[in-house]
Amino acid sequence: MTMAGNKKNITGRIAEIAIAVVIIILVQKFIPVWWLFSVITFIMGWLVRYKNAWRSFVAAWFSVFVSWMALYFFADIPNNSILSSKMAVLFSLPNQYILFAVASLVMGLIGGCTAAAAYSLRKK
Amino acid sequence: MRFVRSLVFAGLAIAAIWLLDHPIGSIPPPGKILDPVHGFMANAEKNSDLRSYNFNAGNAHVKGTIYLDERLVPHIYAEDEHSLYFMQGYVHAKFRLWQMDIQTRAAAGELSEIFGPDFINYDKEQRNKGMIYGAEKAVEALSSDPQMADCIQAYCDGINAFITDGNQDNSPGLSYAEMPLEFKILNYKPTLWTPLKTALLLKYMANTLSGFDDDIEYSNLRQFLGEADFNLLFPDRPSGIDPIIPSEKIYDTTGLIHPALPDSNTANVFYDKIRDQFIEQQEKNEVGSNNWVAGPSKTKSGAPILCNDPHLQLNLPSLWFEIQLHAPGINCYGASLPGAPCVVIGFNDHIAWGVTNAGIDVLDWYQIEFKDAKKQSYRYGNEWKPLTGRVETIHVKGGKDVQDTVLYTDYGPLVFTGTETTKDKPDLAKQARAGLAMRWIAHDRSEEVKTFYYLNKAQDYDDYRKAISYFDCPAQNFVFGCTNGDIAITQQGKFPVKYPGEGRYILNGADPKNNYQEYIPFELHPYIKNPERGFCSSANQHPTDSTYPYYYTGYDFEFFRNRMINRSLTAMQNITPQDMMNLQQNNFNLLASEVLPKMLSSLASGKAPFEGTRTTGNIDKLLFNSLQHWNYYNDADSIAPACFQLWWEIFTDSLWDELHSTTLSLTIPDNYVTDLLLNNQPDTFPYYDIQSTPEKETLSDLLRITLTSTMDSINKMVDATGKGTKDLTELIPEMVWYKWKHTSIIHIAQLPAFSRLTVHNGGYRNIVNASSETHGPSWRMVVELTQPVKAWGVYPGGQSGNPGSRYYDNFIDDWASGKYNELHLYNDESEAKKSAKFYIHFN
Repeated sequence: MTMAGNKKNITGRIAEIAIAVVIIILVQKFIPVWWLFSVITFIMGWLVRYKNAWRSFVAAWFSVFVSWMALYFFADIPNNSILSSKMAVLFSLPNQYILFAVASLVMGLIGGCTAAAAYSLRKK
Repeated sequence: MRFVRSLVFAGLAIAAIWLLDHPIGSIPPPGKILDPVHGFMANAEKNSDLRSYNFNAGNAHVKGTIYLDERLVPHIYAEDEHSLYFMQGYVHAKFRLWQMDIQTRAAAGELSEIFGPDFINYDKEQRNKGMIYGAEKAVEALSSDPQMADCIQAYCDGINAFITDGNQDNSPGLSYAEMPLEFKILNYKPTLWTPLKTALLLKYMANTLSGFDDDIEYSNLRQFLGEADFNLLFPDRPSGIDPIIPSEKIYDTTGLIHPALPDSNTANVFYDKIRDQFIEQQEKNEVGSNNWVAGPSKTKSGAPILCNDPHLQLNLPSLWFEIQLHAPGINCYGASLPGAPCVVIGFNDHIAWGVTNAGIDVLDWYQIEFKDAKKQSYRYGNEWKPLTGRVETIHVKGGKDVQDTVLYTDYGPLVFTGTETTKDKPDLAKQARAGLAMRWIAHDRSEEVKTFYYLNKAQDYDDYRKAISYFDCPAQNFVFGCTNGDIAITQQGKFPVKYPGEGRYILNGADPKNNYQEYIPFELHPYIKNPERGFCSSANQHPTDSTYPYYYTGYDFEFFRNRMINRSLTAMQNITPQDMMNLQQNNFNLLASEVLPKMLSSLASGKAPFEGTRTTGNIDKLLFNSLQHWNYYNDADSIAPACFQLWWEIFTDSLWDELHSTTLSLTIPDNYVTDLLLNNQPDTFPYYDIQSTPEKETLSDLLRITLTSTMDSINKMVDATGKGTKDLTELIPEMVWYKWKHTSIIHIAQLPAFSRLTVHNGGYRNIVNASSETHGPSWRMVVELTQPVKAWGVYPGGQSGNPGSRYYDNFIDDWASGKYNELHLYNDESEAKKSAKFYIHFN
């Protein structure tokens, strides 16, 4: 593998994740079905050829995590964290950022699973 | 292999999604609520949520505009009354829908449907108390008046227009994202509003303000103490009181109705029945209010100044919602009750009005003599009257419906069945009340909304009197002021004519003469217009002096706030609105000022009894010193109030130990009676004796002993890190008054995350600034009746019911520190438009 190829590879990977993030954000924004991200990650796992299922899982997990965190911050910043800080207390968490991170992380795991499932299904 | 792996991953994902899409116990579906767009974050209010829009009300023919100002107060400009109440319903729902829903459920006994089986007992009690029964009668009465029927229907339609978002098929238009946060957390959906729900809400207020009494306790006490001591400790009319109606008032006694006297009274019989059953002391009710109006002779501007602050449970979202209502024939401003049309406490361009609770006993208990165990009929004079059954069905979340048949006599329901339990143990206090029928004025046909409907439009004294004549229950003291200089106060409610003592004790239901026969005519309800002293006031005290021709008894008269208010208003001249605000914030502890000097001087030799007996140092001396030099103000940052309060509680506990020594349901004398006895009885008054000791204690013994235990418990609180300092606030931080009383404004569903705990303010119960742990001035209003009218107000909450809004609790700090908002009653729509942050246009 050449240096150029490697570099292209990394840029490609970043682009794929960026596209997935944008699609997840758009889908979640406009369709009120909280688990739709897992359909996107399934498609991602199917279309994007990673080296193995584990990498597919990680890429999907990361995409979901980033998009959910972004969506939380889109709503939280204009609100000055008025609500999220109260919700963190309600969930007995030290602050809202941990609440966002825990939720995004769990959703990422679900996304990772559907991506890995699709990857495994298609792999020849 | 890869198929297996694929299946495992897919299975995991699907299982996780399924799990997070369903409620887990009392936790709502986590996936749905955590959705960063449509879940709880959808309730994180941002500026663009407060933008103008048009609302198409479809066939409802609603025309007008709601202008929302920078505090989110709606100024409704409607083309006609129908549109006005529709828009009021809409805006109530827009900001307070969940609160309206849960409060009507709490009134009707429908909480099990939301919270599960733990609330079945609560729901049963609400049903058995006839809350729905009473509300249904109110709806009947209101719908027989076309004008009121239209007002209430328009109001309901407005609420439903918000819920359905204008969908003509009445299907919910609110998406999950748009629903108030608490619906998401509690995982249920709003249902359409009906006139019954409005009536339920008003009955809920009636229950808070008139749904309790001391009849059983007094029946017991009279037996337990004997007539003489009972009258000494629980006088119907103690000496030194300062009634609402000043003594200049002459009552017209022509055509006086004489009550029928019963042949027998069965309090004695009843006593034996609940003997030996353990019953907890009842908590003293903290509901109360102040209102007053100073006439032209007392004020600087020469215009009346009217003030009101109702002391109710402090909650978030707040009970009150500020609003201006403008349509042809009406332009008023004030505090409205989300769930009911009109303004409840407020003013218009001619008059202002306010309310306090009357506290007159309109709830009585009758002992029922059943014909046989089948309980199908009961004795009433010489006949047997049939009982009717009313079936109540309680829906239970995650369980089967509970069906209950409540038996009704002509008096009212048999509230307790003898099978009551609390946490799976028999509730003896409630079971003891089995076989008693409840007669409560709140069950009668009535149309209280009409009072507010007409008060909102009233222009003078006659309009005011006519408007309040429709008000039956809970009886209120309506204070009034007018731009023409008139001031007045009326105690209004539906009051039965009673024989002396009637309704203080359990009544014999078999004797028809114990039944309510006739009611005191409106003209003889206590009232006064333009009294000589130049002001009217009320703070839940006795309405009249002993020249009043009818007997009445109270369940919750108050003795301190009213004397303090009257004393202040008598002394005040050239009063300004600021003076009135200061009076509303007055923290003077009249009780302490009357008892503490006596307590300190009665200590043997006037010295602290513990000096030199404790090794912890000088704390006792510092505390004693703070009591000796206290100015009797319960200010937020002082130590003495907590020190006094603790001593007073320990002292009264020991003083009335005789009443704790029995298992009967009793109550202890009011602080005012204790105050009178302390100052007037000899040091050897028998109740000063502590029963558990062989000695015969005198007052000075009792004071010494209780002060020592007060100091003992305070010494346990000393913060060791503060040693070496002489500052008590550092040594014992939890004794700082605001922390000691910790006034907290609790979310209605008791969620601490959505509450404001331990607000920094002074005051207490029995003090004009009546902020206690859970109760306090729920709406402070000062109105100067100049032309144009000027007004100020504040409540501990915010206009929005959404915990995700900055308008949720933005008034609390101002409220705590005694600041007021200016209340704008705009005459012209263009003024409202100019100051609007955004508007909602209806067409």
